Amino acid sequence: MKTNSRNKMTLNIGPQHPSTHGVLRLLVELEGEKILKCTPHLGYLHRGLEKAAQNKLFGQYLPMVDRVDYLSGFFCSQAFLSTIEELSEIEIPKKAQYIRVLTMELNRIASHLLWFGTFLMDIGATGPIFYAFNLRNEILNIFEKITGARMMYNYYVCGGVRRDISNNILKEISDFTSHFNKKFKTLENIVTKNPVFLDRTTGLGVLNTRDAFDYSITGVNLRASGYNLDFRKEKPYLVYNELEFHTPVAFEGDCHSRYLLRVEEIKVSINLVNQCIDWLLTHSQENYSLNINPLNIKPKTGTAVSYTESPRGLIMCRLVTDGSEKPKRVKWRTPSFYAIQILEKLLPENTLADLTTIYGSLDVAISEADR
Amino acid sequence: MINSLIHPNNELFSQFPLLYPLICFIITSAIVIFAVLVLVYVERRALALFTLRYGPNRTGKEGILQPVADAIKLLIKGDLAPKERRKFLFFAAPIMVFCPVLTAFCLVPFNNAFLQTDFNISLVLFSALVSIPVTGIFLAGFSSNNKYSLIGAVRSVAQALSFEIPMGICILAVSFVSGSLNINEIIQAQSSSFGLFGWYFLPLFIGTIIFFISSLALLNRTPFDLSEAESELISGYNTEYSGMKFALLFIAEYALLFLVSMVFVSLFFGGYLSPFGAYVLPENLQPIEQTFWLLVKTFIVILFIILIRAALPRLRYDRLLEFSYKVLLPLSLINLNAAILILYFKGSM
Repeated sequence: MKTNSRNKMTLNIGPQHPSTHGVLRLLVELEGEKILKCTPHLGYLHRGLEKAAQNKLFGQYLPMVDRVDYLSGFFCSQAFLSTIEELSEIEIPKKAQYIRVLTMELNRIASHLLWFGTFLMDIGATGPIFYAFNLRNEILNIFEKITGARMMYNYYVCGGVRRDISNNILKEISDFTSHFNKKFKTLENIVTKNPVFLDRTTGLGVLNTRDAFDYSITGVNLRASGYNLDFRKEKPYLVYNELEFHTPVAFEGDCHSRYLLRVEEIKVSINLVNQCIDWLLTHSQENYSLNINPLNIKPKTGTAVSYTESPRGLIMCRLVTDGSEKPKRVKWRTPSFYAIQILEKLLPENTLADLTTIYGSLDVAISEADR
Repeated sequence: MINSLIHPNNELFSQFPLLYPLICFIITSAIVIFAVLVLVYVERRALALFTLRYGPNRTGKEGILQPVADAIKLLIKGDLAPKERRKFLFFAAPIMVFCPVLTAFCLVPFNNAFLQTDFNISLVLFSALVSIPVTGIFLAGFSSNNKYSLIGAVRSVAQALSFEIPMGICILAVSFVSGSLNINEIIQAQSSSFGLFGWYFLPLFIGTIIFFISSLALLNRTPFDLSEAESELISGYNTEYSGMKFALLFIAEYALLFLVSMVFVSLFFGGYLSPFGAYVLPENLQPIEQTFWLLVKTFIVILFIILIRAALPRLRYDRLLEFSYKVLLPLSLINLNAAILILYFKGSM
């Protein structure tokens, strides 16, 4: 159909908008209700985190690392510390590794629950978000007991974690997981087979594998298109090669399969959390103590790269050191940056009403896209 | 022509002929104001309790003074308006949305003794009056000089037009079975000694569901609220309104909700009839009991509508139009056939 230039309307979906999940500006060219072109504008949340690293000691930069993606703080900490530990050739005690995996998987569940609530709110259902946030609140309370903070944990240090988890907290976590499946099932029941929801999300925003490779998409967005790339199995770190879990894959690549995959990943993470708790309870006699001074970190000269599978995809952190106590260069490769790029490909030929659905299904966190 | 039971027996009404319409107007306005005040509170409180929140529970005991606080707030708010608006339409649109709703409240009978109006075509009049606010909503969005409002207004008109057709056919089916277009006679036709089982929702249950879904669409309520989709359009057609004009649009929406629920209950659930068949209270107190039954049934329907709002996501508007034309319209024709069959068997018995 020929497009007449008089029929085109440019709409600015502003940096402030209820459903852009942060500050993202989308310049959308519309013809009636059909989107012709979409240009995302980033940078409204740029905090200069990579430059800030160059002027700080490693110990001073560590609290800032949690804020690269505030919804998955443990993963960013793990990504950064993994590079330092590789360069300094530090061996993390087994117990600390299990504690790290436990907290990371709980964080994955919390992040996916938040995504679940906000995705449904964008589609229009105002009920499920409160139920999802109720569950997420229980996880945040657990984090507060373990680390002292609900969101910006600052719990991992070079060589392990700051303090041990007591048996009481472990029992609380296992109480939580034993009730979680039933509560989450009631939430799933009104959404997954809901005809309005299915109607709204199936066949929409189909991402084929070729485009996903071209745009460096990782994580759930890639696995929903049929390619199984999970860095917990591809390049296992911490104790993932000792734990039993499967990675769900879907083949349609539409919004609905991304939704199904994230729901399935929550269940896989519950299983991982249970395995970690079992190990920690059987090895609870071993006292865990940190025998590296976390403030005095001076890794060898060199470059190290770490791969971490965060809820949104692959976080890759590259650290270049020159023997001093400050990093020379820290580079963050975060998955949301690439997920925003693919909007240029996915949005055209859809209507304006589908914009929030497609954008919501990609699970973008602007804070890690802008750094 | 006006055939009320009170009218001929009272000399006062023949002395002052305008007294009767004035009394009806006062009663109707009181009902509308009361209904809106209650609904504003019930919607926010019930919606909150359905979604694990509290809702307003501080103003007054358990929050019942919240609508009063809302009303005061809206009255004292400044009347902002965009500079480039179309002045007359911007001013007139809320009035156009509210007045037909106010008028249509006279049509619904609250009890058998005091009928405000007794037209033989009251159902058709209701259908016509409910169509006027749609134009008002479109003008509200159009005159705001705002792209988002315009999109909301256009969507609202498309939706209302396409859902009025199945609604009209369901009304037709009800009038076939009852033999009249007068709402009071339709209610009386549902009265029987079986009580609950004589109402029209049993033989015409497809029609009940279709009318219910269509009325949700006419009211711009979830799952059909894409003209006010907050996550996409901020607030749709009433984005640029504030103060008293916004209050009028707000009141009109809730009044229409109450009105359509009452008509739905009158057509399919027996209106003011008691579900037991016979009335509990003695003869001269029966009108009060009839009003009570009407309000209880309407309230249950409204709670159900609020529950649907808490649970379901929003339909995309082109899927919504497809739903109306491809699903509701054929089903309403099937319903019409069922009504004709019922009429045939009723006539042959």
